[in-house]
Amino acid sequence: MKYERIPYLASGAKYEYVGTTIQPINVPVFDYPISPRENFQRVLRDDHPLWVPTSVNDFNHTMGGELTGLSDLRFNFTERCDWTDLFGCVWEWIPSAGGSMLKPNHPPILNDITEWEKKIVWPDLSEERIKACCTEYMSKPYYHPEKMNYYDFGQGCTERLVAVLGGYTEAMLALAEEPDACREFMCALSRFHCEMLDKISKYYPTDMIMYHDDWGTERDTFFGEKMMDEIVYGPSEIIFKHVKEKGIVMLFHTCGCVKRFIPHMISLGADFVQLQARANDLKAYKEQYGDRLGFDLIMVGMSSEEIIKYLDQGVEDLGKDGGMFSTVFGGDEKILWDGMEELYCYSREYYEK
Amino acid sequence: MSKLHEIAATVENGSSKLIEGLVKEAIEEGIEASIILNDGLISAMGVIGAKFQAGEIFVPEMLVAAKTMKKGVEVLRPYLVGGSIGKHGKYIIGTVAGDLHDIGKNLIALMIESTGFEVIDLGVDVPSEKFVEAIKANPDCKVVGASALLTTAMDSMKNTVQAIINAGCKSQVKIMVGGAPITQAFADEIGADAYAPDAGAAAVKAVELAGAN
Repeated sequence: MKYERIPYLASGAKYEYVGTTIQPINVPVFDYPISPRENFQRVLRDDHPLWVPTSVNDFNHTMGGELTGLSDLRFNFTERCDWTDLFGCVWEWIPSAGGSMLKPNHPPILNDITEWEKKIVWPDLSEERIKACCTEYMSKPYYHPEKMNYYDFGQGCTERLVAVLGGYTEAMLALAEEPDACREFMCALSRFHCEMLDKISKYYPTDMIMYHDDWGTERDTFFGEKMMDEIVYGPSEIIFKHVKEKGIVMLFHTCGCVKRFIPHMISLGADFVQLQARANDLKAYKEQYGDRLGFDLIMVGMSSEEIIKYLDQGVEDLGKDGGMFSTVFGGDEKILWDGMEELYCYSREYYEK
Repeated sequence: MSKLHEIAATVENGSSKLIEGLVKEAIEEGIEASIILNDGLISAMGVIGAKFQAGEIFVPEMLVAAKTMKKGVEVLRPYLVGGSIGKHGKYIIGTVAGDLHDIGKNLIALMIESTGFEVIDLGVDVPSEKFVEAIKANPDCKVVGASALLTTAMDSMKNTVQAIINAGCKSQVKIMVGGAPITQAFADEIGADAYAPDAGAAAVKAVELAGAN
């Protein structure tokens, strides 16, 4: 091992306090030989990066809700609780899952998607408030101006359809029965998202966003290619195109086994995809699509030994030539520290081979 | 195309707005309600289940077919004598405690209902005691299904199965389990009677278990 892995908060270790999507933590500071921005460009171009960047070592990372002030994110991530998003949908945070579910038995915003024009209340994109929120975030002790800026954009077309209709069953039925209304709603949503992106970018110079849209179950996609092409693709293209035109890197997140939609993600213009390793053969995807698509390997709580093994294997499977990134999601601070140390050192050694 | 074929095709296509009219026409033509149910509606859902298992159709198509069938059954209900609906008895289903996922559970409930069970859906995040309570309250329930998507809910599924066994309900019901992290080996390990990998297989297995019980 050429690079020494520094133990957690060891005497003399360099570290800093940063925000992740779900918790602020102390993370190691590395002696980068080139700037994170230059390295990231090399990652994007598959052009000899020096290390695999992460969402916290190389970026400032937050959520769209924090930058717009439109959702209630002030809850304790270790306890089960309800919260309301920017459209007024009520969610329940499940600590064991590290995510939120629509609150069961809560009345949905819409019972019929054909009523979206009458009943959807579009969130107020007050520029003054967004400016204030971005300024406040950028003045926090864990915001580091020398890093690139990244945020979770929030729910895309399918996920928002699910949220306003109160569940996947209702949304899947709507896709089958009211395709035109679903597509029109999704187009309006994407136009809203373009406006939101423009306003945030004005006050939080954005380098990358993560756009969420769950397209799969554990075993296959929710819907087939026909429904993708006729309903979901067009509205998604509106926001993807806008993001790319602004020179922002698009990281696309979807849950589930989505093998059949990888060509759609590439065609839409995703730079990176964040997929569930347990439901997808990421190594095979890298071999098949690695020249057109990058991969984000989520760093999340395991044991130190497990996370080290997982990241080493991840670099071997996904790091070839570049095109690899890691979003630090959350978990025990020491374990994440061990993961970051390993990912930086192992990837440096890997790229020097 | 015969009226029964037309009804079956309408269910398969998920044309929920047309099904009520077609079922009424079939009744007016003098076709027995039980024949409309079995050879028109239920047989179509068998085809849908097989297509879903084969990856030829997806969740929306399956849901809309099930919705169409249910609308057809509602029209038939007054004409059915002798319990054609619910002929296999009751089927209690729920997502186990600690898990809020319901799409898989809902799909299975729809498919199971389409095969002739009366489904009692306990919802999501269901404590093991609630499963036991529901089984005891429904002595004509022959099969119970527990679903989970999260790996973290697997312990909860094990507890649910154990609670049903410990409460002495095994002489009354067979236990089916399923969901993304669940395997046949896990089902065997926790003492479940059956595992089904998807909704189509679950429907077939439920009928088999009800017959055996």
